[in-house]
Amino acid sequence: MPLRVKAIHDIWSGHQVLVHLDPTFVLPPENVLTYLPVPGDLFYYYRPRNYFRGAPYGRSESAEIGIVYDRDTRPQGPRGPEAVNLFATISSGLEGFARACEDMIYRGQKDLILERLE
Amino acid sequence: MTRVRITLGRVEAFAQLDEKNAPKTTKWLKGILPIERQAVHSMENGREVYVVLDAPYHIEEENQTIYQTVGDLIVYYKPAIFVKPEWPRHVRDFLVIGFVYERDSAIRGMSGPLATNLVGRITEGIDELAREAPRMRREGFEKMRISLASRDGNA
Amino acid sequence: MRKLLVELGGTRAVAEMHDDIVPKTCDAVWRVLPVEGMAIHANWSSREIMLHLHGEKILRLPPEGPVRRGTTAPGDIVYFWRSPQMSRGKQLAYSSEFQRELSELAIFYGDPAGGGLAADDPARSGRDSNLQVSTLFATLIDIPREFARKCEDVRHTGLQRLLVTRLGQ
Repeated sequence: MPLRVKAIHDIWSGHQVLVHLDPTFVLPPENVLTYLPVPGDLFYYYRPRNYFRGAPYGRSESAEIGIVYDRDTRPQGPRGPEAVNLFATISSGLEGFARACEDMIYRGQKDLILERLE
Repeated sequence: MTRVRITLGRVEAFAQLDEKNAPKTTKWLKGILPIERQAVHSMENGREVYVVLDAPYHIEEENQTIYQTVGDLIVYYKPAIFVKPEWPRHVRDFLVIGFVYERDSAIRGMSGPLATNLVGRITEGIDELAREAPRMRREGFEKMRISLASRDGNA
Repeated sequence: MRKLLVELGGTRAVAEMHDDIVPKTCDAVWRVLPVEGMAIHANWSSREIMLHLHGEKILRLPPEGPVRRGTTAPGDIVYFWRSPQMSRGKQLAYSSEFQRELSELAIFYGDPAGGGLAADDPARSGRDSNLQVSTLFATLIDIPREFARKCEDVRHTGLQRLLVTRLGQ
């Protein structure tokens, strides 16, 4: 941190945006969430090369941060639901953040900044 | 907006009914309140407590989701096999009303996720329910009562 | 085949171990017997009661035997281990001795047995499937009606003392 990256809207999981990190940033499972996130959850996820089928980003090795902005969401890909490391939950400002995320469905990528708040 | 009071064992909580998105189910629910039945803990869905509504109501699918989460007040037909150990074979399911008190839960049918009518959200007292339900898993289940509550929280 | 005696609230059932299929798991379980504690009813896996292993009785065993795909039958007794990373939530229903690293014996007493989310969740069977171990190591020879009824009671009336001992040796 700080992270300044392009966020994209997820196409598999529901109301969720994600950013791709340096794929060599590989972490072991921790505080594993296998089922439903709640709106505001931030999670880390890693997959090796060719784990999923499908373009544009399924075949690449990838480390990601996902942010869930509304309910009826479950982290998943072409092989079905995925286990993720839950590491934070948004504590304020979710409503405006969710509007910005939803807007990405229609208008595409946005810049995402993730930084420490002392 | 209608508030309902949920009393489980030693604690109470309040839920706001979602009359806009589940108009038929909430109308029906308001008509049968108050109800008091034996509370049962789910054995297949995680952190869910429910009561069986044994009258032959017919509830239509409305405001449905398979993604139930903490504080959801839900109405649905639960497969009978999850309710009674030796269930009457001519009964395939029981109408239930219940709530989810902790995350990582999911309502299931016999072969996968089960969509439920989301009729309201618990707005006060979910933490108390989330302590009372595990206590009852250890010490035994008591009754659950659901009744109409006025806006100021008094019955 | 070695046999186990399972006692719950004054009722009894006898199980036969699957020495021929999962000998290492059977040996490991046999060594820690007798085990005793308060059994709690499952909230994921349907008609199942669980006995959490504590202290020196905790077993950390690798997977053994054929891969099971969510088909658990009434009477099955399963050794289950779950890594601490998987145990999210408050777990308030469990005893104060409960550890995030879960080691337990799970007794399936009726129909449906298993089939819960934990058993067949695709998220748990992905790359990180080493986060849990589930080994079927014994099966009840029969399920006495009063034993099954007592198991069901645990669901409604709370914890019951469960004792698993060696039978005949």
